[in-house]
Amino acid sequence: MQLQIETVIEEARRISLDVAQEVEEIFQQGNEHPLDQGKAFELLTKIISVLRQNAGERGDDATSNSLAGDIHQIIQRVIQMREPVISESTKIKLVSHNGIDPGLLRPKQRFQGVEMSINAGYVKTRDIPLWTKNPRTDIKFAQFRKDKARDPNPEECLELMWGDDKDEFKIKELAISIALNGVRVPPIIAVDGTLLDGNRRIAACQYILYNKNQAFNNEALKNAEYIWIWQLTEDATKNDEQLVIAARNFEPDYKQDWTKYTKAKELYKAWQEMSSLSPGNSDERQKRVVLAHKFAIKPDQVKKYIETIEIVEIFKDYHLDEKDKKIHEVENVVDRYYAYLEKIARLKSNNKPRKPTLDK
Amino acid sequence: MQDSQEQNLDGHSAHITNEQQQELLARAKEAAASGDPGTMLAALYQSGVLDGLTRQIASKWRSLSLDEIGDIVAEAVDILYVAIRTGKKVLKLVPYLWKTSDHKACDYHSRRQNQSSLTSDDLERIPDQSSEVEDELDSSTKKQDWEEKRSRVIALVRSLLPRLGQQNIQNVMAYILDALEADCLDISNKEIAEALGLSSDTVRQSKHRAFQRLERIVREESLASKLNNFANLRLDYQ
Repeated sequence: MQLQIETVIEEARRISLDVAQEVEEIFQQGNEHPLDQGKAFELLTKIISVLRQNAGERGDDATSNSLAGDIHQIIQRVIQMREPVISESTKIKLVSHNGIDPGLLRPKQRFQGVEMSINAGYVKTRDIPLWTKNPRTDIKFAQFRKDKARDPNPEECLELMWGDDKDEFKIKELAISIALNGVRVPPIIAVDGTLLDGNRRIAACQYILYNKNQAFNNEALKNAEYIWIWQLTEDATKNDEQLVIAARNFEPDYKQDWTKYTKAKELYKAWQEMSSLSPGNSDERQKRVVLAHKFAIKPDQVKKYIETIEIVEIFKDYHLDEKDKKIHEVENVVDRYYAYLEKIARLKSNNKPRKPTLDK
Repeated sequence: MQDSQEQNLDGHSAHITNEQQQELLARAKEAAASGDPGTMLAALYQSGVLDGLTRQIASKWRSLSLDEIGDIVAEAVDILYVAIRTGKKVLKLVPYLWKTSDHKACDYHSRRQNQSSLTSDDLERIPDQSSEVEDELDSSTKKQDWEEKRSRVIALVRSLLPRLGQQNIQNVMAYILDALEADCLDISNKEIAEALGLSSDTVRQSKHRAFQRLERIVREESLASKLNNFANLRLDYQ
């Protein structure tokens, strides 16, 4: 008898358990980790089979009749019914911003040779989740999943992208450029908001918006808050999405970057102009900050370029005046050996001067 | 195409709002009440609850296979459907599904543990199929016996209520026993609180104390009866 009483007490305890926490987790899990279609299909097959069988045993004809017919068709119908709910609720809507309305992009864009309709407009950066399956970042995210036995939440995704001091994905550099110029190449999203291209740009915008250490001014925050984005239209297929991913990540853009020497010359020109305009201003650090802002690089890099060009000038003078070389000949050598001259400039800056020679 | 759809559904968040979820659950309940299991199932699936339930069981009962979890969820959905269809009290679908599934998962788990503790001698003694049918009949008879006994046992537990002390504690426990007697599988603190005009906190505390005291009383009674038997035995012997 004691066992029976204990069983009843246990039943009473079970039905009156407070399961608010578990229920919340069920909703969250269902939202964040829905079953893939294969598993959903298996589960629904089991449920319908059990419902049918037990209805038959109970003699519940109404239920049996309601589930009569081809089980696969019933399940297909159930699965298809979910699609609109998801797409309607997860759809990211483009909005007007700064007087610019969203609309169809003209002319149509081609990805891997396929023409696609694309809407362009603004979205709030914080509304776009990062693409955690991006092969570029996959190792980091996989490591996180292994360590914590779960997916990172949106905030952790950002922390992983931002990385530590190493700035593995060069997000901080990109953030400096975006702070100054805004996002120049529009990221591309699917209709449900899946980020197909632009993970680093979004992570950089978020980096600005979090504004740790108050490193960014209001202008920068404004540049990052809303971004101009391209969105595939509702008739885009999964295959179209794959084409966009492939086109943006595999296809070369044939852009030829300036050589470091060319960049250094341009910057040095600006440095000289600045010095001639305010000869009395001896605050070189301040000037470097202004130039860094203008060229969207770090002040340290400005210093590096200037010091290298100063070495380049010595090098050029020596070969033009004393060795009687032609200017284009010397320019070509400098362009080719710029990295070496840069190294010398660094050594000089560290008080370890070395005399450069053309032979070397 | 199939792969990419799976990747999309599996890999990316497919959030639906709370309002949509509640609306779908209400639709599922209505459909079950009107004997339309297909619509109930569609609404449950659309709400994402079946996915969440499957994942939650998998994370709590790690030893169970996905196949077993599928069976558990299927049985729980059927129990829910029958309960609503036959007019039993089901206030909230998800707690009901969770409690039913969790209990079933516990049964599966215990069954597996019993199986794994079988020795080779035990395996040799496993009966043939004809005796399985007998076992099934036996278990169904036992179930029927228990159903009959259960209400008597509940009445017995009810008779212990005055010994629980404070009136609130007695009332809360009485409410739970009423629910148990009515075959209700889920009853929340909020529901008890509203029915008895108490705060949810009071219900939580009263419930805790009620179970503690009930268990102590049962333990003491059992000990007393054992001591009694022992004393009687000794008297007989003398």
